[in-house]
Amino acid sequence: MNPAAVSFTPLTLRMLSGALIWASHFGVIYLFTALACARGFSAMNWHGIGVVPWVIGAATLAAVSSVAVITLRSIRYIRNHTAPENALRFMLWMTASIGGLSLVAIVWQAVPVLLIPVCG
Amino acid sequence: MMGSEPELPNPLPRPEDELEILEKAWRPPSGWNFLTVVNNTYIGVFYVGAAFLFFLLAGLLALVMRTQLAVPENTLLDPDTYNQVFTMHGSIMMFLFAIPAVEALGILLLPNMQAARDLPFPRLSAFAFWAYFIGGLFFFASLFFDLAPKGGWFMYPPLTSYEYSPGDNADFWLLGIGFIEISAIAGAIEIVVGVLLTRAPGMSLDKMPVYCWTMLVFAVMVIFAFPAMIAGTALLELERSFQWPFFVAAKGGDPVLWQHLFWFFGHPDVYIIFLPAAGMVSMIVPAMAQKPLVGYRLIVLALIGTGFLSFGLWVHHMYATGLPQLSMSFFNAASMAVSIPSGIQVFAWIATFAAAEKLQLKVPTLFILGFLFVFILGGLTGVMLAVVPFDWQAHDTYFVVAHLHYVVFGGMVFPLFAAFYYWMPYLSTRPLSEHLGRWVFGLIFIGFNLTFFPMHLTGLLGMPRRVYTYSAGMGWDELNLVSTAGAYLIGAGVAVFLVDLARNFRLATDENAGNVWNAGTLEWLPNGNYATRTIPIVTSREPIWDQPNLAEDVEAGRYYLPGAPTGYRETIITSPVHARPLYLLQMPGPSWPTVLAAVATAVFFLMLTLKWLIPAAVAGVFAIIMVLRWLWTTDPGPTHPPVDIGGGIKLPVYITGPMSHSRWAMWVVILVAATIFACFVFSYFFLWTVSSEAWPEDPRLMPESHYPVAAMLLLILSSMVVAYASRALKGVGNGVGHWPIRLALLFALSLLIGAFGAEFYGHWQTGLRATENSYGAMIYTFIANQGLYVTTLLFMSMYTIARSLCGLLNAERRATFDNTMLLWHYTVLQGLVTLAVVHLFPRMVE
Repeated sequence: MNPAAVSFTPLTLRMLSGALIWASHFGVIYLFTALACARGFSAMNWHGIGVVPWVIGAATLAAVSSVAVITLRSIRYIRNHTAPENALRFMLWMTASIGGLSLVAIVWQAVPVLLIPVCG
Repeated sequence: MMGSEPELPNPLPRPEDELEILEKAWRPPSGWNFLTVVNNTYIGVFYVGAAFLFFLLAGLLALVMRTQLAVPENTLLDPDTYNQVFTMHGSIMMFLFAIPAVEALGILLLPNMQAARDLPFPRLSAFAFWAYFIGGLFFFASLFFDLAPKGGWFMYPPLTSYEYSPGDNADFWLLGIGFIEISAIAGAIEIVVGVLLTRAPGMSLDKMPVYCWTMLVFAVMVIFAFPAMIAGTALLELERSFQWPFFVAAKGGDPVLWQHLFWFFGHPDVYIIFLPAAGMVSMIVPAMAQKPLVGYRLIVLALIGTGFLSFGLWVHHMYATGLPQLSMSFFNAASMAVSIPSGIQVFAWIATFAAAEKLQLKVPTLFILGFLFVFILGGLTGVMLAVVPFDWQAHDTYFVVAHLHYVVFGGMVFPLFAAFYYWMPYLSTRPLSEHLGRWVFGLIFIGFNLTFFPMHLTGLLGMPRRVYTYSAGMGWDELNLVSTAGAYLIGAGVAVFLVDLARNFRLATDENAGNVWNAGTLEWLPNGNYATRTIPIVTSREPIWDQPNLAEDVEAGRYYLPGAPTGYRETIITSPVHARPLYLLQMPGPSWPTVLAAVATAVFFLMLTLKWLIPAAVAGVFAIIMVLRWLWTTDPGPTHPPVDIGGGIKLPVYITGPMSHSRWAMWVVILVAATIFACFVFSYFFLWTVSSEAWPEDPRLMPESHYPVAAMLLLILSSMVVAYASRALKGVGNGVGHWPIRLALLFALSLLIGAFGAEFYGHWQTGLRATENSYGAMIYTFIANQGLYVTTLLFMSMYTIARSLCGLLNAERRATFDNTMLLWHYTVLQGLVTLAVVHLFPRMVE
């Protein structure tokens, strides 16, 4: 078996990890908010902060830190390996830049919780 | 080295009969047998032609609509006919034109752009085309029998449910959608496997043309978006035909569930249409500018980013349904975020044009400039509509009609016309006319803006969409008249294009007009039915610009695979990241069973729509027999020793395992199946959220726990038996006979059927019925879904056993078994998750 062939799936998953984390974050905060409003537990709070902002805050922190780690590791690898093979360098560059775009999207979609009433 | 020339894989002169054998293997059938042609060039042209035919038909309907709306209180159409006309216009444009057209161009262009001889499953392309073409014509013909759907192209229930849309009209919409589902999924399989595994050696991911990237993202989006549509249409048809209440609020259903499923498909669908068009633009702009595309990596980033983010936008079609404010803001944010990658692409195209020393200001360039103007305006109104308060004001007005046409017509039809003019010399003995083309562009561009720009104003003045007429003096009269005049100008532009086609298009798979634009990518190499004479080694993104003598060397037979060493149709399968040669794929040729299977599939759906059950059953059985007949020859086995393709590379002619193209295709099918299942799971939880009163309050009303436990054990055991059969198959020929494998498959099948029966009977004996409420409908949907896979595996295991009995299955030649096994394990996993959702969840929330 050609080693290049078998490495496709992990390489691709790593390349797309930022976007996959964005999708998971999106799914979690959307579904949790919908459930909290539909099932009436959105008013629950802890230390004066509602359950929905807590969950969105925690999910955002987890997502941002995971994407940041993956992005920084990819950048570091590119810097430390001056001549990695072209296709690999390309995929690492994509990993980092998809991570960057995903960071913007994750933060952007979490910000409204600071501004907008939860169920409204 | 030979003098100053680089050393290429194959030396000259080539054997005398080599080209002749290659041509013979790829020769299209003649006479009536020509209908069985499978070569991507022919099927691609047929496919594009059919999609364009539907564009013309839907365009004619648009003209009828615009004539009706030209003046107030017009009586040309009655309300019922108008409803049919606008529903058919939208449905055909979206489902029978836009999606098939971009997929068709992919089938046409991808192999040549990657210097493959064809896509890996040519008969699948042919099947998808014929089913779509025949089914699409049936769908259109429903208009002449007062049978056309009339619920709008998004067919919202409850209007389209059995109570308010009795008769067969809405079912014809489901028929039309069925065909696009079949052809889109078939296309996605072709494209994913084709792009990843059939690129020319050296065309690693970083050297892949942007168009290939767009088609890869397109296909992956189809895999995850279309299942929502399949799930939605299945639920709506079950509700219409059998009164299973998914969307009937009085029985615990919710019409908003349809909107979620529809738009989870519908919004990505806009990008499913736009991204391939953007890919065409990314190929045409560099050729016209004679400069490499600026920001290649950023554009690939934009494509992948758009592909993901577009799935986070579906609710922005549902701002007026009363969802929580915070939820809507998530979709508002995602709508804003997706403008970043879209913007990246637009700036990259502008930068490439700006980098040109001497821009070729030809017809394709004009259409691209028109696209940039129109699409940017559509994008800006899109940002406006993404803002919730504005959307509430503009919702269901002509402002939305204007926006969607600026995005879809601007983002897809302008690039498509650019593509017609740009790639025509690759298909025809002569290019289309530059003179007529300028008229086509001028008429369409002016006509388009004249039609749709005023609609922003009519919308802001309050004119609702989908009304068949309006009263005079509301401020809409002149604007509507201008829109109608513009529509006729578009029609005139399209008519001039047809004249141009009639005068200049002469299909040629060889001796085409050639590389008239001096483009740099591989589809412009000299071509024949077999694509390129040899498959080149690629060292850059624009090989024709960067590799001197490439065209001559390819045609002379100096690169890989200069002939047809096995005497049949072949292409090289390469590794997905680096495009290193892995094996030689022997491809099937023309076949009547493929065409007949497609015709029978179309007839099956038509008969089913008309509720003519016996003819439907006959057509269905015939279709299955034809599919099995077609598949019988597609696993030829290692009938040929490894072949030398040149450069000292000897490739096996047959492999199985993870790198087999058929295994990749089966994974795509499983991803589609898993996404459909996920949509059902979503529907279950959604309906529980909105109407949990339909769920049994007391778990004792559910099946007793021994039913799901038995089903679970039977499922796990059946997977274990299949795994045993797999191991046993490895030993066939080394002391292990065939019968243990055949018996194991039969035993595993009985276990699977037993698990299905236990689950079904468990619910049935509680008295639960699908028509009772949304809970019952969901439970029996899960059961029916599992039953579909059990039935499929019944056919697949019998087929596998039949191949074993015919001596076509052994330790090496085992693709059939492996694919059956893969789907088996998936079915078991799906069954186990179903049991957890249906039996564990209600007990957990008790």
